[in-house]
Amino acid sequence: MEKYHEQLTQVFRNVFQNNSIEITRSTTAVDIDQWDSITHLDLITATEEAFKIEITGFDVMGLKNVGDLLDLIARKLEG
Amino acid sequence: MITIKQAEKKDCSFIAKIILLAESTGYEITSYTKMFGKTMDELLPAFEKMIDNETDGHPLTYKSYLVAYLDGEPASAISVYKEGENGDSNHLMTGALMTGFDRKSVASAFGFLKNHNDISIQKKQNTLQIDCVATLPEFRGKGLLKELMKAAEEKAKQLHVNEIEIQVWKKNEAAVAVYEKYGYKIVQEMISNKEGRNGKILMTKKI
Repeated sequence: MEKYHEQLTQVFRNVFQNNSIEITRSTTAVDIDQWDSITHLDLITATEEAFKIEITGFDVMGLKNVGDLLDLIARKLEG
Repeated sequence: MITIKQAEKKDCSFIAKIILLAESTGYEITSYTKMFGKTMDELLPAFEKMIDNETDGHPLTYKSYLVAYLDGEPASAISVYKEGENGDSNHLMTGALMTGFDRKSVASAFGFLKNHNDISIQKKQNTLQIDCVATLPEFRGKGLLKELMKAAEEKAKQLHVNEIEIQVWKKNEAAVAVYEKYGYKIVQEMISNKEGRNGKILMTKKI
């Protein structure tokens, strides 16, 4: 399993208050109900808190799917 | 003479004005001025800075705009982009807003938006989205929108898209009538629980 995947799954489950959510690298807004602009900000903030990283607006504009978010987390933590 | 061009970096100031003008018809339940509790003039500098980004696929970047020039003067513009091509457009807009405003302001603006979630209409993947349609007041009634709508259809063909979507405020009957004239049909209505007979209308056209 990909590094950070499990922890990020938990972030998604907390934000969307749904313990059955499963994410893959190709997961997008189409796959998760209520993943709109508002919950996206909640998700970004929760990701920052969970991984102790800072995510900028420019970082967010580079995200197409969960895979991009996992890569961003890895870049922030591992340099 | 009317000329249609893809927007360039130098158009950011004009496009920022268009975005805020597009939301000042008086029929809006939600708008950036309402979300941020600021006037158009107060928001303009932040929007000029914010839309100066190189992403595409959402209305908060100059890259998604077609500009209509009348005798060399920028006069009208619309945002056109393929939904989902560069990620979800709403998520990209969240990122853009984070570059223009501090996190607390964006969270507070979204708090306002959340109160009107009942009128939200989901954009269909791989459709061409038309957004932020406006003409500077002094250039209205000169056929600029007609040319921009034609250019949008051309762009849809280039992007291999066979459907165009536009969201309009229900009370903005003049806009609905104009889009009907261009061949758009009403396919969905989301009436607000709080604002009586107003809400969002989804209009589409098959290409």
